[in-house]
Amino acid sequence: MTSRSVQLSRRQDRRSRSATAAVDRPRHGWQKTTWIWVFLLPTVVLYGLYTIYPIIASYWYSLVEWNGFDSGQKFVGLSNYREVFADPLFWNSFKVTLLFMLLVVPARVLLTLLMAMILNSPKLPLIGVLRSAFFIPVVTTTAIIGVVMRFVLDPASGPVSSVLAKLGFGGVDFLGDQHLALPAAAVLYIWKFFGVTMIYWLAALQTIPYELYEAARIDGAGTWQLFRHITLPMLKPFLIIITVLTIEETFHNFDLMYTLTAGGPYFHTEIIEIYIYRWAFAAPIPQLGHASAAAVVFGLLVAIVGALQLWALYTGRRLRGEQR
Amino acid sequence: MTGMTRRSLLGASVLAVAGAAVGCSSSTDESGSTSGGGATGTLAWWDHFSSFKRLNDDWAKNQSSALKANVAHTYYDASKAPQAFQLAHQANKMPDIYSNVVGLPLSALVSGKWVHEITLPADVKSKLPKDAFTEGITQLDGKLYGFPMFSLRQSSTLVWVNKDHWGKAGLDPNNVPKDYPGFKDALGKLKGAGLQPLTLAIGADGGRIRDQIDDMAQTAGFPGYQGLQFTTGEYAYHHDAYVTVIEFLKELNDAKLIMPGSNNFGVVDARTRFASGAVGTFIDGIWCAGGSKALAPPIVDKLASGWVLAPTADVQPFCYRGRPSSGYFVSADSKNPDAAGKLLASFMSDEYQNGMIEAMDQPPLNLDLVASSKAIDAYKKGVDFCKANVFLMPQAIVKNPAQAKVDAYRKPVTPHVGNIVQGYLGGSISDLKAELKKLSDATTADRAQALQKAKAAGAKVSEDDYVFTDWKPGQDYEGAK
Repeated sequence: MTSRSVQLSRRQDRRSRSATAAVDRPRHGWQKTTWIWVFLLPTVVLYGLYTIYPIIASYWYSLVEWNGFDSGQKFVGLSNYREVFADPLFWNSFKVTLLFMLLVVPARVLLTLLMAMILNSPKLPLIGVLRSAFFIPVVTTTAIIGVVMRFVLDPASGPVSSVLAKLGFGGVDFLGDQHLALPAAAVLYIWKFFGVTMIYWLAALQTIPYELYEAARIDGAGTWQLFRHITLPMLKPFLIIITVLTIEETFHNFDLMYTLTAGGPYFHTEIIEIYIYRWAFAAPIPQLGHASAAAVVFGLLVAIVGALQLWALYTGRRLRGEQR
Repeated sequence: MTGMTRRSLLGASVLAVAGAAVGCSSSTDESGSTSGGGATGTLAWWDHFSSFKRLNDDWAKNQSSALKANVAHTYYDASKAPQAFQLAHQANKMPDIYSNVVGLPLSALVSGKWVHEITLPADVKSKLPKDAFTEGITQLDGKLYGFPMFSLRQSSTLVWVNKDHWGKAGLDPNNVPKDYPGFKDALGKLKGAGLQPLTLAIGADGGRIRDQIDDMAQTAGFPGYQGLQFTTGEYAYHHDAYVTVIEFLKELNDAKLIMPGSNNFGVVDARTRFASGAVGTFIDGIWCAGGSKALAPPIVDKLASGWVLAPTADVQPFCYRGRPSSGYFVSADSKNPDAAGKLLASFMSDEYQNGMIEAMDQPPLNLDLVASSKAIDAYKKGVDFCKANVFLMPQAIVKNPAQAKVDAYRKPVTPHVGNIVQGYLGGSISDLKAELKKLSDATTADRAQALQKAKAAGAKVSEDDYVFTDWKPGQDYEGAK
């Protein structure tokens, strides 16, 4: 053994002794969690500034009359809420938001499940390419999709209109027609976020042991039976979570809807977020109190869905536990 | 090799961040001193006038040497400017001069410390028209706060045509029909020639079509502005004139003479179609030439213009507008209000006024320069129409400046006329007159609540402020000042 290796060995001994002493030393609660809080601090501060503070502020603003430009905020109690509840256009936007959700959620959940099952097949070639292709719209900026789609669906010169004209259906105004605007926006929304729900399903499908399918096939089960008796029961916990997540996502659709229709024609696509924006920013003198009251009511709706989400999470875990 | 532990990495990171923070703070101090030095030498200028962007960029350079200050011009899109100004005001970072997009009445701007009194040289004041400064609109208690930029004699509702399209359809673009039947026939000929006849900006928030319906209602005989009758002071959106105008648009729509999609078009959408040659006719403001030029320069040579349409050829197409509003303000935070005032004064120079005319946006206060300018004939024709047919209307705020308090309490009434047009053309509204009556009632109720609040706040206002029994059509209102 050389003198250098002896020195190294002693140094390692000392390190190991001091490490043992450190482990043996009793640590107080704050010492155990200090570093956790240090690392969490940026998130806590930013979340507090950009999420918690605006929520609390909007509760306050909903109780005052304020235009956002001057410093005078006049406390008016629940007057803004009374005005919001008395406004038929608020209830119209409430209806449009729920209707949009009803159009989007079933289609998005079921179609993505179907596609995920196809893309989960090990025999399918180019799976990576296909999965990426479905995910590309998700990573594209929503507002840009809205603007581009207005040109695509332009009834006078858009490509869709040209094709329809050749088929004898000229000039369909998808975004300007009161009956078509909301369904058209729903289809675009489903296409835009198709990839997200599909990824959820793909992750869920990959939790099903392949041996179960093999065993069932040996027992003579066909494709439908495999789906009916293995895939579907195994996916039930995920179905609840994915559905609730999709419902919640559907409530946040301002960018696409605003760029596509701005709430028109005649408020037929005015979701609550556009209603809030209209009062807060598009009014000649902004009415932040009224807008905040509408936002608080909308927040309560989202909170109900959030509670459903928690329930879904709990139920999902319970069902998975039962399956095991 | 000695590996870096997590703690040493964290320690190094903390040191690095602290170092960076110190570095940043010292740099902030330096830049603060620079901008402090610049406070006397720098003049920030923000506006939202897209057609004047190049003119204003050049003018900022020009005035930098004249004022011996660094004049920094920044253009903001009109839709984003209010939020930018709101944030800047809250952060005490307002520019020295800024355009009027905030939307608050002058009294609220003064009490909210948005504006500084403007001092103009006497020779500049003498160049301005006699009605340019109005108590409650541009000045308060005799002090000038708002600098008017544009003539009141302008319109949002002129007919603009593409000469090529009209020529192909066998129509004379220099003789655009002025009445509804003639206009409808012309559109029919465009359609017959396989061209898209007409577009309008009916969609988005409906703000533009609302203005246009208000103008066309005046030429159809409505004795008031934005639903308010001058002689009675009552709201009457359900007046026959409004019904006539909207029914005419419905007729054009049902005859498929309006370009598909127009029901969903904002101003830029519709103007882009017109400027690119996709449609032959567009109802737009006097600024159409400048706005279209900015989108597609070749369109300028193909433009011809007509008047605000009237139901029959024998009707004089008289329109009425309020006194010029403030175009620019000097910020209350300005470190150099004198230089800011001089910059505003420079806008009244013939050179700048000519630049405004050549940009072909809203016409400047001095309309006499238009005839000899380099603006296209279609623009000059539009300005001539406005000079002859747009008159000064009576205004409650001019009669009683305390009405500014009422304006501050007004709330948006929705659906407004523009929304109603969109709904009626699209089939969502079947009983037009009933819907217009609802709008009249809702607007009356809103004014009543605003009056009540203003009175409770100590303002001496009444509904009589809106009544002008001495108003006469076809002339400037001189009754109350």
